[in-house]
Amino acid sequence: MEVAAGLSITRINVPDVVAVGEGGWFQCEFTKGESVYALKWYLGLDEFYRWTPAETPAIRTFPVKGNPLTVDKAASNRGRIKIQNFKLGATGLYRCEVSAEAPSFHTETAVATLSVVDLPDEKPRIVGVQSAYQVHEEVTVNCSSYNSFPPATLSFYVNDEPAEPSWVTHYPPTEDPESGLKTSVLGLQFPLRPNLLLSGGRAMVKCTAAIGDNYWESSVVAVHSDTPHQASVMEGRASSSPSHGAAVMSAWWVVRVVAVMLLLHLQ
Amino acid sequence: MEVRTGEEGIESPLTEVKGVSGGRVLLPCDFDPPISNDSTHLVLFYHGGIGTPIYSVDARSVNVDRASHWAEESLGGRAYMKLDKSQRGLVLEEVQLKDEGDYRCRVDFLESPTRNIRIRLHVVVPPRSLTITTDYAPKSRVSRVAGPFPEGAEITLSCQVLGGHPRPQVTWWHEGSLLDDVSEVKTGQVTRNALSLPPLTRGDLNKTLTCQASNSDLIMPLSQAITIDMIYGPTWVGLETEGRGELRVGEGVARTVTCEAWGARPPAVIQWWLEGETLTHTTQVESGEVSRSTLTLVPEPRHHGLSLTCRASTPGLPHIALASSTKLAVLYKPRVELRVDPLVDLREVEEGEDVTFFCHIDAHPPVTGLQWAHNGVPLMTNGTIGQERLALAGVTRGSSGGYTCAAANSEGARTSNTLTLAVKCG
Repeated sequence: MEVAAGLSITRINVPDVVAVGEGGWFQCEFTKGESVYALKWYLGLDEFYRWTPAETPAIRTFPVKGNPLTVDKAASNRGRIKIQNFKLGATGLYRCEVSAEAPSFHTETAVATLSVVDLPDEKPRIVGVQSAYQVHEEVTVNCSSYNSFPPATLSFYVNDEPAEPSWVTHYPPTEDPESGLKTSVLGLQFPLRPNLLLSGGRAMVKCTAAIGDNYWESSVVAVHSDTPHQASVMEGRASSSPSHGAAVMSAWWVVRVVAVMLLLHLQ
Repeated sequence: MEVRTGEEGIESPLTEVKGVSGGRVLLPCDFDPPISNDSTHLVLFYHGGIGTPIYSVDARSVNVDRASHWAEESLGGRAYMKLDKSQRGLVLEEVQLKDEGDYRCRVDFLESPTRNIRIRLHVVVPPRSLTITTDYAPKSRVSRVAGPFPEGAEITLSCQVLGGHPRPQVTWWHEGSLLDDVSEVKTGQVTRNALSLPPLTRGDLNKTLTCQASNSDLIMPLSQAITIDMIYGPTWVGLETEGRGELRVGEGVARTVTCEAWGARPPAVIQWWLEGETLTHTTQVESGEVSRSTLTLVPEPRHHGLSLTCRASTPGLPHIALASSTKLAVLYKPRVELRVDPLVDLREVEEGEDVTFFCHIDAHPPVTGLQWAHNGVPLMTNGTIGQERLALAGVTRGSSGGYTCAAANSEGARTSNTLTLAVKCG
């Protein structure tokens, strides 16, 4: 393949990921060696933008099936084009093709990929929490992140620590037949051990939802135990609020006093 | 930032086209606009998809049929764009192997999106030559006939094909049945298929084997047929007297004896012997695998009881020979010889002495009758003395005279020489 003097594509720039409805800029820069006859942008096999400096109008756009993107002609020039209103169908391989004028019509191309994501409209939802649980009772909840593309990646945390893998159940995402959007579901089941109870006799369950670097949200629910004052005095994991500590100390004191009295009594 | 050229990208539909080296091929491309009130601006043909087009039609200011064409110099004028309704696209003439590959036809329109069409051209180059050789000594090239090979020979026929793109399939056939389609050698321009035959039997004579080289259904395959020739020794040899054990011939009567040999290729050569002596008065004729040799024999009594042998062998296979023998039984009249003991002088015998005559007979079949005569007068003999001895006891003067013996068999009778006895007086 001979290398024509001059014409070559020096830069192609397309956003990696955009959210549905957003817009962006595409750039395709070329060296000036020869005069250019045409610069074309393709999504897959379909041409959607053309710049032909020798013609009037110099800029033409062509609709792509399903209208996954809209070109703002007024704001676009040469290889730099402004896109509005990306839809999910705009995910794909983009090609910039530049051709020199007659007689050679030497052509260079460059490609870049773009993914369109549809972010969830609401934070992830945790369902299935009862009003109160017995200590050691199984807590079973589900977390869902609704209608996104791609499906969100969910995670559970209990008291800000990642949930044990054996507590977590992964379900395959479900799809909305009309929109094609996906809903992720994650299950959590764990015994409400005393060591998990914080002050107030409850454990905090958090669900996070993420899509790449573009989206991160979380929701938290409290899981209440039935007898909030039966806080364990033996475990070191008990939270250290001052009132709680004082109650513990006074209880110990009573035990020791009673013990001393018993000893004295025996003597 | 590295710019990806995207050759690995999208797969648009592909049209596959085959062309024969030296021939003409059309790379189809429809450049009519998709909507009627649009016009075609530019048709570009790329070899490989990107870079500088090898051919262009610039119709930006004129109609497509009056547009200016441009072709790359390296095409050497072999390419032109066909614009008529029937066949649209780029015609390549005198197609060469280097034309093979992927092409892209790009059509730019005024109002419609650009059309890109991918075409893959496969170039077929027919194989140049086909040669069949055999590994059997001597190693040699076979043009029509392979061999001749002996029975049991394990031969390998090697079919070597030079050239051909794509690489030809080299196959061995026998009357429409495929024998071998695996080529052992496939390097560079050489494709070779060796056919190993099981040990040859007589049934393999004139078997036709064909080697064929083919790399496309667009061209006639190269092929060559060879036939197997064989050499083998006789399976049977027989003298005409076979079974009777002896050949009866009459003395002095010229007799022809025939010997036949069957199943030899080439036909066997027959030789004759009588005991150790080679006989040469023979003529031989051949037909197919049969040889017949005729011997003319004039038997003599001395031939009686000798072994007559005929031996057949195929030229080229001297160690494979068959022979047939018979004993000669020669029939002849008796040879009779009258003798007397050499110490006796028949002129010096005195009266009263004993004289014994011996009649020596050589006859076949054995004599049936023996007759002694004295002066032509038959003598009666009897007694225990064998007839071949005539013992005269106490001769008298009357015993003088000539004595003869005569013997007879089925062939005739003969009288011996005369021995004269002269008894001396007193």
